[in-house]
Amino acid sequence: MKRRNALCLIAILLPFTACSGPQYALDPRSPASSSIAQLWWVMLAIASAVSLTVVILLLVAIGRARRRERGEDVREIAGRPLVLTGGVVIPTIVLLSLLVYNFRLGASLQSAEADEIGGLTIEVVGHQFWWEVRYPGHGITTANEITIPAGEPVRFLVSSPDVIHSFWVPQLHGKIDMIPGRLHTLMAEADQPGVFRGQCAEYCGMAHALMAFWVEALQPAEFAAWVEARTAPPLEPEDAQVERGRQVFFEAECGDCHATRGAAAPAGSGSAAPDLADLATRRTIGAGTLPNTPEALARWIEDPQAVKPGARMPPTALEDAEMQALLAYLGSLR
Amino acid sequence: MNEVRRIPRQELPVILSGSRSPIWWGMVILVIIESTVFATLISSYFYIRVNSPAWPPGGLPNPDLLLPIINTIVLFCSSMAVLWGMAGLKKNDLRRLKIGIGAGIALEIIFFIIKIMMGTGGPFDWSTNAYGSIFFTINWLHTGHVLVAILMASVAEMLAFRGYFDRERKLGVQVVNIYWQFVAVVWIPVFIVLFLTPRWY
Amino acid sequence: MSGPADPTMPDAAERAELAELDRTWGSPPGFVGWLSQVNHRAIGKRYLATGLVFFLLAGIDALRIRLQLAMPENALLGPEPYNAAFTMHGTTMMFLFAVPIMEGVGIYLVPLMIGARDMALPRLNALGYWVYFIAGTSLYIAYFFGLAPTGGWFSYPPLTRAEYSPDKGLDFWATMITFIEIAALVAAIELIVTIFKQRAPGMSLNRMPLLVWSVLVMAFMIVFAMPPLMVASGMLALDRTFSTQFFNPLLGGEALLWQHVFWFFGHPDVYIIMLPAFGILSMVIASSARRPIFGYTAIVLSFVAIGFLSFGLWVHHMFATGLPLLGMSFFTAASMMITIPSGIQVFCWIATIWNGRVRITTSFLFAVGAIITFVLGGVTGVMLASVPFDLQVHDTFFVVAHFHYVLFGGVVFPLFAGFYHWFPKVTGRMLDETVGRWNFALMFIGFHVTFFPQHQLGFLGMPRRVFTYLDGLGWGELNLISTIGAFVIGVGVLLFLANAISALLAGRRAEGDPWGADSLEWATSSPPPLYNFQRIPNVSSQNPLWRSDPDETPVEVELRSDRRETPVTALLDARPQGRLVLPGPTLVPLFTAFSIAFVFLGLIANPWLVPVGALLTFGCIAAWAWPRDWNVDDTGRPGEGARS
Repeated sequence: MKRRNALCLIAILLPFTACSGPQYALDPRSPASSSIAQLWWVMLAIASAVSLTVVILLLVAIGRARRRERGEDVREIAGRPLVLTGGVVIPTIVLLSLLVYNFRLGASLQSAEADEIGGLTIEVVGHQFWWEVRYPGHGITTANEITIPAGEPVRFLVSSPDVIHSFWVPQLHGKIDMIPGRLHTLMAEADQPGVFRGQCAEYCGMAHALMAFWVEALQPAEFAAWVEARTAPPLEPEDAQVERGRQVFFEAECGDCHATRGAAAPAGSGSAAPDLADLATRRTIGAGTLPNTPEALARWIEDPQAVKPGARMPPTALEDAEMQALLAYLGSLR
Repeated sequence: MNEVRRIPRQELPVILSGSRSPIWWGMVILVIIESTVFATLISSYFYIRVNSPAWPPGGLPNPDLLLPIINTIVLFCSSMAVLWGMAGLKKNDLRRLKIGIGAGIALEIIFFIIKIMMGTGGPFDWSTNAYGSIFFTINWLHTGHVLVAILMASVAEMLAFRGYFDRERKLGVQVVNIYWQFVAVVWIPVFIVLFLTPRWY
Repeated sequence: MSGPADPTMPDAAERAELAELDRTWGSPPGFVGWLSQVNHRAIGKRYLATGLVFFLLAGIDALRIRLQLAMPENALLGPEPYNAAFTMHGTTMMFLFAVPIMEGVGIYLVPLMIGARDMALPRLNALGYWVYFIAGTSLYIAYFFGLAPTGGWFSYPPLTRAEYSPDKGLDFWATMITFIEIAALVAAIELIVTIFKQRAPGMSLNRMPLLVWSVLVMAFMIVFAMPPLMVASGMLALDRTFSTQFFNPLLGGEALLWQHVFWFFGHPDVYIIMLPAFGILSMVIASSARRPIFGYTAIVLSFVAIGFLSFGLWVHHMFATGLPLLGMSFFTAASMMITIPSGIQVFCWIATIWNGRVRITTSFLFAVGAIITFVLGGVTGVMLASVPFDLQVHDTFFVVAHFHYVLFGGVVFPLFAGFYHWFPKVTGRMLDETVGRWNFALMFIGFHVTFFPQHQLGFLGMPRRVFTYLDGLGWGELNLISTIGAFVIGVGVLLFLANAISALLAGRRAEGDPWGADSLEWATSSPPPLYNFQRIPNVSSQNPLWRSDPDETPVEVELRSDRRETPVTALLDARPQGRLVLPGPTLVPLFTAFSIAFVFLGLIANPWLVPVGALLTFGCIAAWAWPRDWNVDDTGRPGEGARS
């Protein structure tokens, strides 16, 4: 019996040994996530006390009943006070205080959203299965990576043209659904510069599991520099390999869906695929699926389905030389 | 311990009607279920409506009123006819029952024919937009109920012609009547919601 | 108390009566005869057995899911098979296992517990079963032929509209879910009417066993919750097959309309399956503690309160959909308050145990395991009612952990408590208690090993419904532990099957009342005769087998044994009012179920089949409703009865 209890204890404690990761909600990096994490610790304390009390009472009750069964004379408990205290009075007090705590927290998160009229606005559009990111104030369009200034609130306007997705960066805030036909707002603020991972949190089809993105918070000055670099006029290709790659890009019909720096996608293609304007600066490709290396990029271009089944991108067969040129071109997009 | 009191079979009738009969309760619950179906559909109608910039959307005209109003009157008369026939059964007047149900069936068939004349109810169908879908679904779900009521009443009418019913043995008619009145009553919210509310605001 | 149900020394007249009852309540031999049975216990057993088969099938899918997630970037299942597996797992557990098996519990036990010979509308009962059987098997046949739905068990459009999920799998899902609700509604009608009108003389409402109360509240909840589901799944089916635009945002449709209507059903549905489980727990605990349940009235009121409150919670599934905070606050409050009636029940059970003389049986162990698990799931439920907190953990493995705690604690463990408790009554054989303890230990430990770590996975940012995850997110170890736990549960379930099979083959014979329990089902033999009770018992207390009121005159109703009769009593005080003559075996319900199935399958295959199916259905119903016996008004005077 003792041994079994010890085993149970280990099984219960083991999960808490794994406590980190780029999506760990209890390692908050923003005011909103911090207050939610704090709410969790308070609720955990209450919940543990409640569950422990009930389990102990249950075990004591069984112990008493066993002793009575063996013929011992055990005093009966007055059931009515037990049920009234345990089932009505204590839960009501606990729940009411939790409710008040919740309403205040909910209202403060909400008013934080309402107050910030100025500040940076970023539009995020969830597509099957990638993220379109636009900075309407700066005319920047990118994908699967969001750069924000640290220490100031950013307004995210989220939407979807196809199915429901959910925008979620656990270390910055809770999630908000992206519902076709609706526009939702989420205010988030990173305390410090850093890199945070986000992931689609509403099942959106075959490749839902591989629909992630990264958020990078920069010092305000660095952010300004980032904006400037993004909005500077495109450079002309400086070497022949890159120029050749640019031709391959359009010959292989990549440009039918992807916009690149200086070349918008054809009208009517909508936002069929990620804008590649700053592809070379991104951490990952395939919405967080592969690291952004030339080898991975080649793998991705040859057969996206093998990497991310369900992705909308068709396979592209290229000669080795063409592929190298294309990679050189893509590597120049920064 | 008291003596057991035996209740002889003579004191326990097998012909039960009204709320004594389990089958009567079954029909009452069926009507509650059907009402929930209509309530859900009508809530959906308003949910789509409050999220739509215009109503009816897409420049569609308001639904035409003449035929639905005629139909409302027809349905009311059919409902009265069946109630009148039922009242006859209390006096063991089987002939009146037959006439009542027969008239009710005839009127509901008229209702059904007018419904077919109305078609989809306007220059749209169920696939035009969500308004068309919800309009069509509610309207024709009700029509489907009318059809079921006609079929059920026909069975009752056939039994009436074979002299099955009398003052005691009337559960079958009662049950058909509950359904019949339900189909008539539920038309009122359907009519108001589908045909009148788009004009009101 | 009535006379014994199986007298040891029957005299000649008695023997003749028993033989006649056997003939009257029996069904023709052979397979066709088997198909034509309408007795409630036959139907109830089929519900239970079929539900168990679906439980195993969904369990296999669960193990496949766990295997795929055991390590990062696992290549065992691709995305399509994985998405199909979690969709079928959820769909099966909710629609093909939990709801039908609870109806099965009600259909099997309620007439026995209220002292009736059968239910009010036996053919409707059979129809319900066949609808369930056809819907469930067609979903699985489609699944095995690769036509799997991949929209998740709550199938959010627009993903589930034809543009994004063109496969036939979702057509099957939408139509069969609409179809199967007919079974649930039919069972609800059955159960309400039977409980209202067919209780044994003296069993007034305040003497009904708690399981019967919980089934009654469940049935009423089905009446109000299932129609919205039918409307929602029907609209989805129309969107897919008749190109309506309910959920098409481009043409005025609303993605959120589905979520509102679906969860308006979906949340009560959780309590629809949990209430009978609470009823089972109350019965098992009282009979293990060998004293009447403490707080009968409080528990009944809790059932009713849960029934009402559960209809005001649905929006807590939609906290991340950007609804106004003020509106959501109402649902937060309601979601927290529903824990109070549940808490009252838990404390009533504790008080019952405390003041009882507990005999620790497998059934009791499962009940205790259920309470512990349910409380742990309940406290996380309160957390999820908080809007800010929910925004973090919504649609993550935290939620997966939460609802598995609630559903194992509130459905699976109570059901196993019930299996061990009533198995002797149903089969006449005792299950092995030693194997039973192992069964419990493996399932209980396996469960917590599987699902406790998933709370932490949710915090680590693991969304639900991901077929894979990358290395480096810190999710690997916990997922592996979870997978190991799942297999421990699997072994536990296999042990139960082994126990059941060996008991059926060579188990110890069960007496009428092996546990010394208090309710009427134990007053007859195990298994009961086809007619349940030779003499309808009389009830003068809440625990008719333990106590009777000496001041009340027991009543015995006289029934004919040459046709199927059961007493009809008054709704409130169960005064005898009459006799209900019930129909015998018939194939009509089976044909009707197939005709209705034709309508629904027509929606998938060819719309022109729909009117054909509708006509067939009407033909069946007309045959059904036509009076069979013109002399049904026989009042029992000798020489008058005409037999059909």
